[in-house]
Amino acid sequence: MDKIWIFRTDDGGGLYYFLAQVNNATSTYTDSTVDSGLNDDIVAPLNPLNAPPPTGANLVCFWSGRLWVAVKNILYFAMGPDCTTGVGEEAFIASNQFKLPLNVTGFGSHMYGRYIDLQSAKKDAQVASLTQTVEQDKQSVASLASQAAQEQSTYQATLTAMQAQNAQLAQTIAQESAALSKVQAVDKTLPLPQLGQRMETLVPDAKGGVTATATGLALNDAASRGVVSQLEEVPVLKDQLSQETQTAANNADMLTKAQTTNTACQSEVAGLNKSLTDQQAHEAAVVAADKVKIKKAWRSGFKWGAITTAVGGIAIKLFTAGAL
Amino acid sequence: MPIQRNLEAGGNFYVNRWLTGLYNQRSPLFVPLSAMGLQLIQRMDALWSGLNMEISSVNTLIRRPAFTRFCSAQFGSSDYPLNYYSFQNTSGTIYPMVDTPTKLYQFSTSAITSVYTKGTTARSSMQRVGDWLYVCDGTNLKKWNGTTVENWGIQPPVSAPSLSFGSGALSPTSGYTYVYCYVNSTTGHVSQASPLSANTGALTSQNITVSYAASSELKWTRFGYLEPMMVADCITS
Repeated sequence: MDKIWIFRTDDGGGLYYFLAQVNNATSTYTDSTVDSGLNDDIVAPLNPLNAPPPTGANLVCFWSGRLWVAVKNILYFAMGPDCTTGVGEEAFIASNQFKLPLNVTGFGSHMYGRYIDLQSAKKDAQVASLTQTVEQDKQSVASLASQAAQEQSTYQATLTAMQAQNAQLAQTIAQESAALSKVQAVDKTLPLPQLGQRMETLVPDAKGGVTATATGLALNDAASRGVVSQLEEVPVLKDQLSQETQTAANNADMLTKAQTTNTACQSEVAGLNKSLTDQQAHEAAVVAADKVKIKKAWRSGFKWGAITTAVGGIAIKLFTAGAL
Repeated sequence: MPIQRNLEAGGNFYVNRWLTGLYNQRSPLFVPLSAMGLQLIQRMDALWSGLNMEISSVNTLIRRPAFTRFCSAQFGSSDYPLNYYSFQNTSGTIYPMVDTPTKLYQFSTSAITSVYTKGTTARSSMQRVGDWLYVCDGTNLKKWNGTTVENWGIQPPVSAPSLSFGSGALSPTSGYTYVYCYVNSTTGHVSQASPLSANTGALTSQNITVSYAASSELKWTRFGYLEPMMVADCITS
């Protein structure tokens, strides 16, 4: 570049007017120009105006007063007549672009290209509408997934706490079983007087009714009934313990099944997401196919329309001339 | 030659210029035919995939300038044609162009002249607007007017101008703000403006010295040189 243009606002103004042109080799300019000396016919092209063409542009054509270039699947158009300072063909705006579903491989001249573009725009609007619907569905599914994840988290916390409690209980049971075995072993060799005392400790109703003799322990009436009463409880307690154990096992089974259901729900949510994505792709493919059909139909219609017009015109002229 | 079907001597009903439209995959040697009953009708000359036509500045289709039938000059050993293009500037001069893996050339019946060295083997795409030919190939962005090669577009300044003050004549009550742009005086193009400077604020009897960064982007200037070209490569219809 060989020149630099310097722009300045009026005092307190917001537009940047041409102030001076200097050579590109310089690095400073001293401004002593009053506001009336600014050239307000030339306004600085502030960002995003007058950007250079996009990097990687590899196709170019001129249409509708603008240069168009393509970078892969993005079609850019220059500012053209919108450019007030500089050359319209060299000035671009990053947002002046159309993103296409496929890479652009060439441009062709077409007298009714604008018509086809309008048809494409309608289809694009349909795609946008469908996309919005799918996005809303996706949000709903995402909300469900979030809810399910929260439930899973709560369940997991409860499960962990219960498992810890169960482990503690199992440890206590093991300790008690060991203590029982130990006491039973001692009881086997205990002298009869101490055995009698032990019985009175275990069966409060037998207190004072147990007497050690040379052949064994003698129980009076109250002690005998107390011991029998306590022994009656043992099979019942065993049965109750068995039933409680079964209840606990059932609870554990229910927990496992709840976890399986939760996992299935999560899989279902993932499936719904995939289904929505597939639907979106399907709709886009249908729209693309429709566009191709429209183009083909237009070409066919144009051909036969031209023929019909020509034939009709001949017929009218012949009729007017009295030949028909 | 295509038939001009003037259906009435007075010309009231007249098939206009290029209404045959676009025909892909057609022979460049014959115009399209249509069947009307037992008659074959030779259509008006059709767009030949855009190769023989271009759109004018008023959006009408006009015939693109053709090429010289033969060029006696030769390409270099590593060059071969990738693309052809021809354009006519507003003074009426026609420029046949040929793109190769190494250079973009202008050619005539007897000479081939390099416009610039590409630095990529990709195919160039060309488009005339006014007196300038715009060329891009994914790497280079150039414009050429038959004499001078220039960059297409200008990289804008990235730093804001800085300000200093000395005794002078300016007394703004609210203050000034500055920007600057790079300009190519040959093409008349102006780059995007730099970021905004700081506001000067209120001043009394001061001059303002604006400091800026000069562009490191050089102006291109091309002086053509002749190169040999293979005869067989250059024959065009």
